[in-house]
Amino acid sequence: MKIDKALKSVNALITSFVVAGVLIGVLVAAQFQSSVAANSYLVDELNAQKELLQSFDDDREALKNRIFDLRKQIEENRQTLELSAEKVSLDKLDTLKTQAGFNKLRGKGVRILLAEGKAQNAQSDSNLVHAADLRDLVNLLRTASVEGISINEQRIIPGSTINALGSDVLVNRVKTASPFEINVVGDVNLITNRLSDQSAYPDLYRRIKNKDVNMEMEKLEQVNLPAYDGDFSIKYATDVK
Amino acid sequence: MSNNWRRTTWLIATGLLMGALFSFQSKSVTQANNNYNRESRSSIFKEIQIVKKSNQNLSEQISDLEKELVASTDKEKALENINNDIVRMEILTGQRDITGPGVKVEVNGEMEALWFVDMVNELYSAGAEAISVNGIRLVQGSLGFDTIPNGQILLTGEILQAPYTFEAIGDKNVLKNSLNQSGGIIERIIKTNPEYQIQVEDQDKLTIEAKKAD
Repeated sequence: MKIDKALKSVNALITSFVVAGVLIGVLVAAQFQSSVAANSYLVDELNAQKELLQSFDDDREALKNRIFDLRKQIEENRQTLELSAEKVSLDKLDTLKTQAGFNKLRGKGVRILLAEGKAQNAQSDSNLVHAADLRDLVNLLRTASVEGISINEQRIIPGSTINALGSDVLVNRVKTASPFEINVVGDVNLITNRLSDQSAYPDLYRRIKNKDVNMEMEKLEQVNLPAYDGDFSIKYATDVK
Repeated sequence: MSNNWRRTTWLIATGLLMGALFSFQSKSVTQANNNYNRESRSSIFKEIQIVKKSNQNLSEQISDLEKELVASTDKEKALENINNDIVRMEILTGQRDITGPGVKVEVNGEMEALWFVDMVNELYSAGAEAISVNGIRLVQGSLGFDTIPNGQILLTGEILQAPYTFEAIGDKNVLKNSLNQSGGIIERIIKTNPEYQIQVEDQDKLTIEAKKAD
């Protein structure tokens, strides 16, 4: 009887070890599989895409510098023409460029600092400043009839775009990230009045109130906005004669 | 006693090992999901296309400016270029009626301001050169979609009534494909508001009127 009992006990022990071994084997295999399929491949691919995007960004800087130099030379040549007809046209062109955001702008306004706060938990991204938040804020400022807006030195014009790129944001197709400095030229009272209207941007306002996102605002006597220096083309639209 | 102690030790060690492996496994799957959700491949691919296209536009701009620079010392040609620039700037600032190919989007449903903002952003991202909403040309000073207390949308002092019509001049195929792509703006609006009816039509010729005088 004692021998039978001892044998049963040994068999139970062996069975439990076999089951545990099989389970461990399955888990180890799954661990290796997930490591290759999910982490390495996906992250490598994303990194490659980010590198490609960075190389386009570098090219873009070089192209913009070249455009800046060419415009400067053309402007200098135009100034030397010194004929009254050209002078009238140049003044008109300059006024239009200011209206379109292609000249620097200076005036009274506000500076808004928008930055991500501390993550409340790993699953939530409510502390991040999303591209959609910036779009909503720009839309809100536009309802205050502002004269000009810039985000992290990118001048916002009617055709400006703000899109998400992972945790970064593309403003005028230029990569930028939090903290965001938003400079605005316009009626200071109207701007602050609009910004105090929580119903105008409920989602961002809630996160600012919860301190998920940090927002500071400063009224300034002088705000400087850069000129728009991105690409623009008119290939399809023609003037109706 | 000794056997029991050894068995218990083995079982505890096995349990610990299994727990650790469960934990690692769960963490790696969560991490992979986070990476995937936060940096969707379709999104980064789309952004690469946008930046690439933008660089092409800049290169074309350089080519035009180089020609303009050569002409800028010749008075006649310089004046012609200045006048061309004036026309372009008048188009950009909405001072001229313009025409060209593009898309017309009609949304039937009480749309929130955020969708107007996203739709306009999507159209400009796809290369729209001019946009109007219910006939109002979007230019500096007429761009903010304001929600009034009863939920209606105000644009440049006018209340917008459904159906909302967006007209955009640009490459009609690029515009249409961008709007209709999987995960694109139309799909996102419909997913959030299944009751909306949205029609996207490409147009060979659209006319967008100049902005109304202030």
